[in-house]
Amino acid sequence: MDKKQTNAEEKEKRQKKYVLLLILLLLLITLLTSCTTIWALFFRDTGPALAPDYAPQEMEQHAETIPDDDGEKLDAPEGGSSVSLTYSNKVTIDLSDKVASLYFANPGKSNQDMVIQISIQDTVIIQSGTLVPGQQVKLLNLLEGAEKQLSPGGYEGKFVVLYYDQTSGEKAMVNTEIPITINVVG
Amino acid sequence: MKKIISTVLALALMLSLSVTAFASELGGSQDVTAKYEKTETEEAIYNVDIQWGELIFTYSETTEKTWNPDTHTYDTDVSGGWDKTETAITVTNHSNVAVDVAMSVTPVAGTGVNVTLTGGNATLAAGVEGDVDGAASVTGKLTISGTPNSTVTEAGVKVGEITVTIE
Repeated sequence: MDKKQTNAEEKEKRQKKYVLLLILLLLLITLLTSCTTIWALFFRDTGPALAPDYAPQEMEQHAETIPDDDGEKLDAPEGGSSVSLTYSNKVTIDLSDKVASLYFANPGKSNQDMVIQISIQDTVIIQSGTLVPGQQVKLLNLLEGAEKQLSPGGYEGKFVVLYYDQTSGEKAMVNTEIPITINVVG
Repeated sequence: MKKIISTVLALALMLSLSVTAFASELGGSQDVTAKYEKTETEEAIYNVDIQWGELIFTYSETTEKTWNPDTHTYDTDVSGGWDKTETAITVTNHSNVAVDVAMSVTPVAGTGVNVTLTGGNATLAAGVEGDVDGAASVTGKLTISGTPNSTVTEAGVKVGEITVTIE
């Protein structure tokens, strides 16, 4: 009689243990699912910025006029175009301010508007607004969330310069890539 | 005892304060020396010009239809060609350092149009002071061939993209 009772108790205990394990497993699954949802909604990298086919309507907010630029245009072949670029190949990114310090100019002698992208390992982390001929930038904002993909240190990156027709706004079939050194500071 | 120590210390302090005055009174003089140091920094300033010719190529197709009275059908003769097959891309270096230039084209597949780029790879010497017109340059040649298929419309489609890399 006692033995039967003991067996029943043990069986009940084991069942309780399984139920508890099942509950824990379900809780774990729920927790994982919730975490994945939160990550997907708020923290997921949405991928590189796509190069716009038409020049952005917004002018670059950090653009400034190049001092002493006479704006004399370069000769361009009939139906073609000419651009000029002045730049430094060193860029510093401040993660706390979410900005990059750099030098890039679209001199007045260019015949095209420009948009600059800065990418690291093929991920675009910065994309400027439109820079018209005669403008330069010394500061650019990081794309939203880009600071989460970087940590202090040195990176090899590149400028990707896109050209846009000043009248139609259409992107030219020519672009330029310039390897740069990026120093990221906290 | 404390009084003695305090007096000695106060005396020492007073005497040390007067050291500077003595030095001056003793007639020690110092020459005033001016030095000139010239430091010239030459920061790399990159400036390149890129020039490209017209990048719109038009393929014209003419179909001649001749009535065949024997078969009561039209015999057709289709001929076509490009308005031009080449254009040039030139990079000129106005930097105070040498730059490596590389040109490449990425064709869009499935259009029936072949786009190739030859030349355009070179190391361009740094600019020479006062010699703007003598700036080093390199030219690449873009060539188009083939017969466009139905994906190429009258409005025009992109058949390739040129990348100029400056290092």
